[in-house]
Amino acid sequence: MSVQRQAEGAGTARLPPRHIQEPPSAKYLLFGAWVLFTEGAMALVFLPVLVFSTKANVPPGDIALFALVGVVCLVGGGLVYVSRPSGWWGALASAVVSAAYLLAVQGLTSSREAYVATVLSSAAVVLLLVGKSAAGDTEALSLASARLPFRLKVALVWAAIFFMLGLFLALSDLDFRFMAENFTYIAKGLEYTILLAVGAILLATFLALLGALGRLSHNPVAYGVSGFYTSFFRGTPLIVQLFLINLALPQIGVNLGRVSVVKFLALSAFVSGLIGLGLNYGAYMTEIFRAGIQSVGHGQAEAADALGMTYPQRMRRVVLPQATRVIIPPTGNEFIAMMKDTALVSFLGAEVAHAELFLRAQLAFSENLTKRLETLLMVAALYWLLTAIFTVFQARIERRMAKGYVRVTAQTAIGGRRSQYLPAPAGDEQGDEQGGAEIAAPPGQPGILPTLEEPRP
Amino acid sequence: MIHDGEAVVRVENLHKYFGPLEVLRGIDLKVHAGEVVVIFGRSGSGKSTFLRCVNFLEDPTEGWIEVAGIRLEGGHRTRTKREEIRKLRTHAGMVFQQFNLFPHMTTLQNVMEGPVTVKGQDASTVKPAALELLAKVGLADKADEYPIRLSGGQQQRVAIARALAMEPDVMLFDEPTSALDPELIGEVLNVMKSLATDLHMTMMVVTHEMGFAREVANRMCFFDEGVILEEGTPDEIFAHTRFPETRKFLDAVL
Repeated sequence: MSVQRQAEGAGTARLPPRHIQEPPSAKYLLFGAWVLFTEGAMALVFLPVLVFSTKANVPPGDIALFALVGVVCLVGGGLVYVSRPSGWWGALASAVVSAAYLLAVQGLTSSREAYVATVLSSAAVVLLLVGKSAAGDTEALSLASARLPFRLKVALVWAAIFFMLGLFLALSDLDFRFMAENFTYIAKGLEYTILLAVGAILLATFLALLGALGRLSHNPVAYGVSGFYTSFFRGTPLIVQLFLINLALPQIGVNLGRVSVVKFLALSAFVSGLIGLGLNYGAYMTEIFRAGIQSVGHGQAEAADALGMTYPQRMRRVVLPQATRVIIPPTGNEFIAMMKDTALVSFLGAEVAHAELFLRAQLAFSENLTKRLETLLMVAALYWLLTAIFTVFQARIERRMAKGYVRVTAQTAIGGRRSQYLPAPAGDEQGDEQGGAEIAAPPGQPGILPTLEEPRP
Repeated sequence: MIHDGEAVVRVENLHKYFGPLEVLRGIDLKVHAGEVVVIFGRSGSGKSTFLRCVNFLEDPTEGWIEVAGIRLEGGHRTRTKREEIRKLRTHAGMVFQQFNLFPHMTTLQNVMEGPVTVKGQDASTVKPAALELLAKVGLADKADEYPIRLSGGQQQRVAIARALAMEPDVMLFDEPTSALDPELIGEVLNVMKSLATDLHMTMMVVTHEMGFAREVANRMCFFDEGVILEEGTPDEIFAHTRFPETRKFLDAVL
């Protein structure tokens, strides 16, 4: 098997001999159980739909039978794990029974869910038949389960959740045609949502850097101004700040000026949204930046000073690059939060030309009030997709920034261990009267001390 | 010993207070070109503070410090003085107990940082010299490693190369081997010894390594309660100790 080959390839001859030779079919048995579990869970999730649906008007006897099928599926999935072969027959029976029942009644509200469940039941039957040779072998089952990567299992759980959600929505008569027709209209809002978020995070980063340097400064003006800034923008709601900038500022213009300058301080929804988000998040990020800068050890600043660096050089070359590593993860979180808070900008007025995601969604369902579920689901999915993509991106940045902070890289983890713990060979000035250094040996020759690796044949 | 060179470092009547506590109580010291001065003494005697005052990592409360002709008085920093301090520091290379290498830069980048950023030299012209310095401290093959992958002794040798890259007039060593595992001390002391013998580098070394002092130092200063209690050649210090305090300390560390 491939697992065995890997173990040999790594040169690990010390693994205990394998007593258990599990039948390769065990994993199909496992999959069969999982399919049954999914089907059972699905049936029970749909139970309330059947009970409360006045449209379908299902007789209580049928509902009870349906619930029973769900329970049978769950029990059948469990029977696969029983240590006697009879358990397998029970599981097979439950899969056959559920498939037969659902085919017979053609579904309770519509035939759709019956078909889906039938497909699942049939899949379970097939998987159980393929995996028959492992029936009752619980050791083989747990081994097969352990061989499957944890991430794969989690992915399967996610898939099951999405599957059920999709089915549930399909049952609740979601208007897919409306969704398809309005998708592009709403998705066009992504452009301004992203513009807003990126513009605001740039502004916020700039403000946070200034704010953090101010908070760490001994200059009373810098300290006081940054203190006022963070206090006010962290102390008031974001939506109030947005309204202040968008709706209240023009009044200052009116009060100050003559009629001819009414336009003074009147900002568009997009611009005031960008400024508001930037100011608000900049205030929160000030604390992140301050903590990041303070996390760089004092010795680093001293080393920079001792080289004769000026304060800006020290910050730019030594402190900030190291602080960035600490700053990036929480800043990524702020960015994700901000992407979602751009939705608040939709309350600043309906400029359709510069409408972001949520404003477009609101416009879409205001024309078609019965399609709120469809519209809001779409917009939620788009926000989710946006943040999910960025999360992946963020993880990559973090990995890249870790260089210089990890001792053993993936490449050296297997072969390069020795060089890390023994004194460096080649070119070192060793062998002094202090002793100790004689351990070092020229490269390629064995050292005096036994090496950490076992000799290879 | 012969030191015909002029004084590279001149310290006059140096006082340093931490709050009400007087840590340095009037230090006078001249270090001539090519001279190796070892500063030793009990913990808390002010020896590290003194060394850190020489390049103004600590601000002396009172007194004068002159390094490579730049003469500055203690007390508060003014704008012009700050710039003078910065200039002074480019003439005094510092090696710390905790190495303080820049972890986000490779070994080579660490060594090049001073000349490129502070002196504004071109990276391509600095690189050969930096590589040569790394070879001098025995780490030519580690140029592209990040500090975390190096042993303590290797890191300290890189730190020495980084300080040397600024072509300083004097090197200040602040307990350079105190944070090292015993078997790594030798490699660092060897590099320091070669600085003295091969490059005739002017050095001020705060250390407890009496073997190194005996072999390399031209002069030794025993610090006690903020003053230089005893000063002399290694021979005078070791063989003809004058003060019981010095004797007691030497007996404890030897």
